[in-house]
Amino acid sequence: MRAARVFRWIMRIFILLLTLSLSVVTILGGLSAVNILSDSNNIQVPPSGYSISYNVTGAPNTWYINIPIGINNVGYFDLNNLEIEFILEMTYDGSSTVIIYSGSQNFGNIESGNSGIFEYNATSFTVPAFSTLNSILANITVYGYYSLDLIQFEIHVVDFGIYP
Amino acid sequence: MGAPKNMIKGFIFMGIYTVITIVVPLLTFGYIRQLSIEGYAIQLTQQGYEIISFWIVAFGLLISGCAFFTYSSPKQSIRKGVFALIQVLINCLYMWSYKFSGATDIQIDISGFGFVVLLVQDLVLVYMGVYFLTIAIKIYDLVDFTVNRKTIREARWEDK
Repeated sequence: MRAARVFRWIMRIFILLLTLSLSVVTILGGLSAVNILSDSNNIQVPPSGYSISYNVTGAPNTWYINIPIGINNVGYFDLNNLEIEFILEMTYDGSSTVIIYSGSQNFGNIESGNSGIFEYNATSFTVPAFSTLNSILANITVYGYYSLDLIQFEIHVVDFGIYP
Repeated sequence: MGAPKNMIKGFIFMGIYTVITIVVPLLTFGYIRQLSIEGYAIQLTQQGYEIISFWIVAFGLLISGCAFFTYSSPKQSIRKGVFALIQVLINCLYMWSYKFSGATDIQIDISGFGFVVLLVQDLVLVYMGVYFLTIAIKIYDLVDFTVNRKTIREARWEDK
């Protein structure tokens, strides 16, 4: 056999192994997404046994909102670099709305088969002068990676009622 | 291998590539379109589906056509090398079409809660990396088939 053919076969086997590995990662990644999303208990705001705690009365520098978020990783890969973005919108004096808090926090990883409760603690609000507080809604986004960091996911919780 | 056998081989591989690049992806996206997880519908708009389907069929047909010419060409011939290279380049465009047709951003709406987005661009880029290696080996093949044309022909005649 010519040397060129030997080199070609080695490269072909290498490419085949790469393609097969990627295919396995893709298939398991898809199955992981279905496994996690097929049960509503896998993503909970707040998780069972936990509750949202807050203080939105008195001076703004005493305000805080603590919101627990539970994620159960029933997928085949670790969920990596979990970051939670938290935006709070306040409606006051009838219909005026303003964003009083915007921030994010990194909560690290959840290994495959494990679950995690992440408590987002929001402080330092920018609150306008108001006479009536109507509502506080939260937009929560959880960012993360799985399938060897090849697939990125975003979980958007929109207009989640915090107060009243 | 004689010409009729090469033609049959070409048709067989054209069929295989048609199934891999057109039938399986269309069935998968058709399935995703109708899929609902715990009653939550996966959002894939009619327009989005049509754009994805168009590019899958367009590039799938080109790949299948090239596969016919690649696999019906004589072993280690320059023709085979040229068509194999064209085929892998179109394969790259086919992979890239998944990105620009919006098939790499999968959004799942969860009514009363929000939505979940899965972004698979990085995965597509890794596949593109593997295709780059394949392009390299196909170029190597083409150079080898051209430079060693005489040796390959002599070996082919000896086989006959």
